[in-house]
Amino acid sequence: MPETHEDAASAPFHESAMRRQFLYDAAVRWTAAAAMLALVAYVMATGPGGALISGLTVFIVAGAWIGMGLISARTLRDLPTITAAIQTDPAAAEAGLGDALRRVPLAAWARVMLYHRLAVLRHRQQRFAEAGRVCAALLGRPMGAARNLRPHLLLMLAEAALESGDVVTAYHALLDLHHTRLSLSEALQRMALQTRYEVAIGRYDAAARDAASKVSLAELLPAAQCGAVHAMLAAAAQHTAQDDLARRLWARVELLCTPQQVDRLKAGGFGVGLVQTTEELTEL
Amino acid sequence: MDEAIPNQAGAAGAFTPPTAEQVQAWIARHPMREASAWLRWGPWLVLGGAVLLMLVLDGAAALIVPWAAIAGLFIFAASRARSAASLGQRTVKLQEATMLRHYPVALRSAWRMLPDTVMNPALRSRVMGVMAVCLDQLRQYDAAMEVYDALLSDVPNGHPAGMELRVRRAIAALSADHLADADDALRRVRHQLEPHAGTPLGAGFTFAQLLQHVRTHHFADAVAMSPTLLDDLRPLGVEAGYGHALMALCFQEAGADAPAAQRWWDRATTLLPAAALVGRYPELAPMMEQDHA
Repeated sequence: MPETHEDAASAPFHESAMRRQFLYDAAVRWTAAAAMLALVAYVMATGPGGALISGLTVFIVAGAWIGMGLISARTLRDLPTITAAIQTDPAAAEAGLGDALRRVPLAAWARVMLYHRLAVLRHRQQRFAEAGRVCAALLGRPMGAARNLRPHLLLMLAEAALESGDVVTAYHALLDLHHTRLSLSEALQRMALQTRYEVAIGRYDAAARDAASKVSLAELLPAAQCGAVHAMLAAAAQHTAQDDLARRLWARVELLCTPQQVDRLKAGGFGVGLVQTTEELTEL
Repeated sequence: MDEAIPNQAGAAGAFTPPTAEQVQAWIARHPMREASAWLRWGPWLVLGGAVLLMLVLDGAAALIVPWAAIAGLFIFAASRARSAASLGQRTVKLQEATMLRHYPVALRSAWRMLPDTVMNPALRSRVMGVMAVCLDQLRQYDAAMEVYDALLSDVPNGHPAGMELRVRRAIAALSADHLADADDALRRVRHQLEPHAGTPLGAGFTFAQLLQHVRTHHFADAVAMSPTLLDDLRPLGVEAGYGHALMALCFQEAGADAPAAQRWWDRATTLLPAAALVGRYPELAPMMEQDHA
């Protein structure tokens, strides 16, 4: 087993270590599959005479297959606990992820899901550079049955990049999101991130365009995120000489956000966590 | 039971939501069920049968039968997983329709989906949650309370989801003027909600208390909530506007501070249109008329 499995969650993320884990899983699975095929081929080649041997072969093949599946199934069973702990007890989430990542062999989708939760944890801990690296590494590989995580990874990557001031990565993530089928909740988060991106690069006209419908959509977000989108639109309206719109939007911001959040938003700090971290994860 | 299905367009072209009795009957007709014994033990029986056949049979059949049985089991498991995933997708669509406030459409779909979810407790709760929200928003409070009661019967005591349901049920009860019922529910959750201050759950409780004061005409008690109300209701987002409007009404009814009433009304209409406020709480109509005047 590669040494990188030790403290996989708490140690800083290294893409090469993650790649080795995926390779190791695949090697174990393919070796087992090849051994099972060889066994079946052997039984078939030696003729159907030995019914007991055939039966035994079926049990060995089915047992090995189920046994390997059980490791991933156990991981899937633990996932809701880890997800809940990300919000309530990050240390427990870290420990849970460390344990789960050490299991071998995991199905690729199970390992993708664990690394996705690691990205969520880092995002929540505001370790954006690392969260972005985990997201980018996962997005760069086939995700198989876990492909429904792709939109969330792109959203986290876009936000992490904006937090790190990397507008190029944010642009590419947003571009990808425009070519990805999204749920309503994801589409709302993309709208918020795109507005933030447009404000960040000074494209105030684009940000302020169609403000009324953006406000209607923002109203579906939680209060703080809703307030942040209003603040971005207000900033864009100010820069495009729409003072009345800006004033009305700020009036709403002051009701939607706490005084501390308002101060931060007025200073241009729009990082209130536009991407949902745990509320939506039960769906994924 | 088809007559109980809410119509998107009734004879007169209007949507007809179900009554409380229809909701109660529909839920009772589709209770939560465990997977049948056949479904649980069937795959093992097939596997055991295949192995037995293999021992009994001879020749090529001894080789083909067990593998065919295993392949059949895989296909069966895959088809069940596909069907569960499709049901999950339909539930997400349902919740999205609710978020977008397409309440009649969402309610109709939820009603039809309920029988498909009886063996999946999580999906059943989500579908019933949609039904409750839609009925609440369509001002069918008694019917909504039936759904909340059914949901509460499946949630362990003290669970945050249970507390949220109790608060929402209390708001529905207050809206339907079941004051004693709501008072009892709010008393029960009051001490459990202290750690939830500053969350949507705590905000929902504050709103329920405010609505209770309005419905029982304890306007002075409501006014006493005003110093912290802005912060307390903030997690509700734009929906906090309903609370601000009710506080404006309380100031007006208490006859204490007209500028304060106007201030709260202005806050409410900053977040929500006056028509939406009055549509949900008709007692706010004088506030709107006064504002127009």
